[in-house]
Amino acid sequence: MPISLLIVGHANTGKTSLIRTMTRDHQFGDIQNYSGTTRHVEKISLTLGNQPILDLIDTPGFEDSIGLWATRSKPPYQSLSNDQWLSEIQSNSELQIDFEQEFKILKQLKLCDVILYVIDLRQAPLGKYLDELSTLACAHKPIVPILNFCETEPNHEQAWRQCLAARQLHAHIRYDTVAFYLADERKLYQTLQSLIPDQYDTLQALIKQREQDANQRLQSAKQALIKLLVQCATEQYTCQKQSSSTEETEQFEGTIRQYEGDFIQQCLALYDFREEDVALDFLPLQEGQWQQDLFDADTLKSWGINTSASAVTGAAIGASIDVLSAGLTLGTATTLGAILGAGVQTGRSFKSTLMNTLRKRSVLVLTPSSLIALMCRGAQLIEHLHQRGHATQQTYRGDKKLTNSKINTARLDKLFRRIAQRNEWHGLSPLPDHKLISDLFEEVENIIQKKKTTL
Amino acid sequence: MLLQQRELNAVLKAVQQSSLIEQDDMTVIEHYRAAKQLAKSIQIGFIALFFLLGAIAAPISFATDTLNQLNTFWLLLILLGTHFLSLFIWGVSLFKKSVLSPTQSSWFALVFQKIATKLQLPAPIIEGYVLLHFSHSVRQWNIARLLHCCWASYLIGGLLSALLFLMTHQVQFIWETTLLTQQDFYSLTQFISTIPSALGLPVPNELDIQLSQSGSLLQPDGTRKIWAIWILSCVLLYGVLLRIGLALLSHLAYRFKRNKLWQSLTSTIQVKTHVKTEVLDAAPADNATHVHPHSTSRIRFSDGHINEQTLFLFEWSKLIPSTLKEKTVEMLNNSTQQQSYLNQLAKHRAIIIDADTSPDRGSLRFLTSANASTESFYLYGGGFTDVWYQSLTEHGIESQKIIHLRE
Repeated sequence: MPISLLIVGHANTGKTSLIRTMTRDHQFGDIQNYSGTTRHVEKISLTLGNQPILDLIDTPGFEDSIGLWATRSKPPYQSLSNDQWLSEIQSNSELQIDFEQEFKILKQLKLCDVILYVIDLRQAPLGKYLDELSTLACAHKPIVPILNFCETEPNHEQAWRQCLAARQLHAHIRYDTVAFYLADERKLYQTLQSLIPDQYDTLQALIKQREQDANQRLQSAKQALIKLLVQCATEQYTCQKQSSSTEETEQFEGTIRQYEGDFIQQCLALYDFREEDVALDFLPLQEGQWQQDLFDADTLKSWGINTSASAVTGAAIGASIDVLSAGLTLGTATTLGAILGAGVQTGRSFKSTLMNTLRKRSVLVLTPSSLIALMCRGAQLIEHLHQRGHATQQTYRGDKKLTNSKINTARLDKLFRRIAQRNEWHGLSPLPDHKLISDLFEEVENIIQKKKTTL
Repeated sequence: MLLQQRELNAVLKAVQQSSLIEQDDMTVIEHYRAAKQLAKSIQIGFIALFFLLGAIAAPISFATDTLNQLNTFWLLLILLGTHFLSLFIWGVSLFKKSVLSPTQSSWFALVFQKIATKLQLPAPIIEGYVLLHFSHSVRQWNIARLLHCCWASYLIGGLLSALLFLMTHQVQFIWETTLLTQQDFYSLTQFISTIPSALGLPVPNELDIQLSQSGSLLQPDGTRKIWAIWILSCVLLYGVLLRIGLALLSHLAYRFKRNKLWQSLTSTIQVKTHVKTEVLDAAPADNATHVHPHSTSRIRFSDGHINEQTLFLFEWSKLIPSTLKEKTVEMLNNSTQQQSYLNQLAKHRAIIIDADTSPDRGSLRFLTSANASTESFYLYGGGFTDVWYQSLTEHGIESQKIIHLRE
């Protein structure tokens, strides 16, 4: 049997938002600023290996808990036990009209395993909220307070903590619609583990799965960023003349922006967000004229490796030819094969440079500074999406400040210049297992703030 | 040909990467199966060709002079020398990291692409297949697997052909050398014979070597047989079995790298943790009570000036507004305070409402009850002023009693 979690709270405190965040589903329910957006009780199941693990039950908000709780001390209910009051009051047809929403919650109280009580920390612990807690306590079910809007300032967290402690509700979870951290989610499941020890292993498996999912999403997003950077660094636009025209520059810029757009799309799909959740402003791009750096140590090394690789392939083929003639030409064919292989590879490396020089055409490439900016922007986007709650309504437009002290621009400049020389990597997927790529991955890792994303 | 789910996902991802045109999944899978079958056929073709070449080449190396004499070590060198040379080159290539694109330098990929194009397989499928099976370290081990299979096939062909030759011809095995003494030659033979001897195969002894020295005209049948078995077992152990072993290792490495590549390609597939939603207790269809506020152009405003009234802050979470700091204010934050307010019948009382929070049923019930004994309702803040104004008037509170208190 899945664990049944009843999500309750005052109207407009973020119950549906919490479910959206926990299920990573921005389509669940309806979210508005007004009270009473959710009118019915709806269940969504979290599964693990096709097995439902958690049933999250969304409820309408309490709107008149003072009125409802007042009936507890009035005839004919004052002499009843809490359980009896909860059962009896629901059969009162007169009260049914006034407390229709509240009765929907009371009906679910008996059926659930744990109650998650969502608190809007922007509001003080007013009487109506405390009356809600009193009502819920009548069900004798474990209550876990969820402190929503904990990142918003000012808030009443301290006052709420005192009130909850007075009611023996010490295990509460901090949560924010805008920024939700895996650590908070883990804490919630750990709290559930302590409340429902029978389901300890199941919840542990769920925690592990959620962490794996989150880690996989982060790694995939980083890979996508690295692919974008290599794609942009190796993008070359051959101009018709020695200097580029405005049209040519615009076309080149358009291509780079298209690549960035594709990356954003990929990240949004990865984190299951919508297109309207992100709207980055145009990034000013700088283009530089490209030259194959004949004296760059890394380029030379690259040619050395390429030549050797081809030579080896050629030599292996040559060896096969030797075998056919049973050793009579031993050595000759091997050497010939090696020479042919090396010649072909060297020709490939120089071909485009030579052709453009002969035709007197320049080539546009992106400058390292623009690449650094792209990298920072991509890293910020990943960081944002990784902790963005699925109930967030605001569109992410990127941070104004792109770089931070963690970035070593000189080192990145050098790295991007080297990658730009690898035009054979353009459009390559997956990227080669090469030191430059692992260096780039390391730089991306350094930039992306981990904050609470790792546990 | 059945495809695993992971392979299917990787195929769809690879084709999606190499082609901007969206293709029907079933068509993609059918074409991919054809490409896979083609690659398999080409590989089998290569292995068969090498077998044939080995079978043809071996008898040539047994070409003898008029005395039917064969130099044992020269024969062994011809049969296994190139094999070891190729193995050495392959070993060196393992330590060289390739930075080439999937289609570059992989001769098999080139052959495959040429044939597949001739057979009119769609280009994205060909590129997708090459990406899945011939990119980077996957290519290295896939090619190694094929290379070792071809060599094993070549050596098996040669071995069988040599066996047939030796069964139908009688030759004398001799050895001749200028640099080595008989003792050195014996030591060398013993060294090579270590593994065959350990496996219980007959190996030449010192007498056999002495009888096989160049110039010895008489060679007993037993010695001839031992030399023949020795040569064949050397080719089998150091050639065929070694290559088969390497082919198996390369196959395992290929499978490992391939799975890693496919995993990386399919890792962006979304993980869905929820499966379904279900409405447990539906709201009645006519119960949509969303507030659609009308214009509040008729609402009265106050720039902080409040008449001489007793002020009550209703369900107040904020700090007390600066405009009220010098006034006496009371709270209506819980049922006791609210009940007390309703029980008192004092005059000149005003309630200040936080209009940054939306009204709820409980608040409106209390304010409606308090209407009779309240002179003014001040709306402080701006977020939900319209909604409050409309809700209060709908609950029978006179509009002139509602004042928007500006900050």
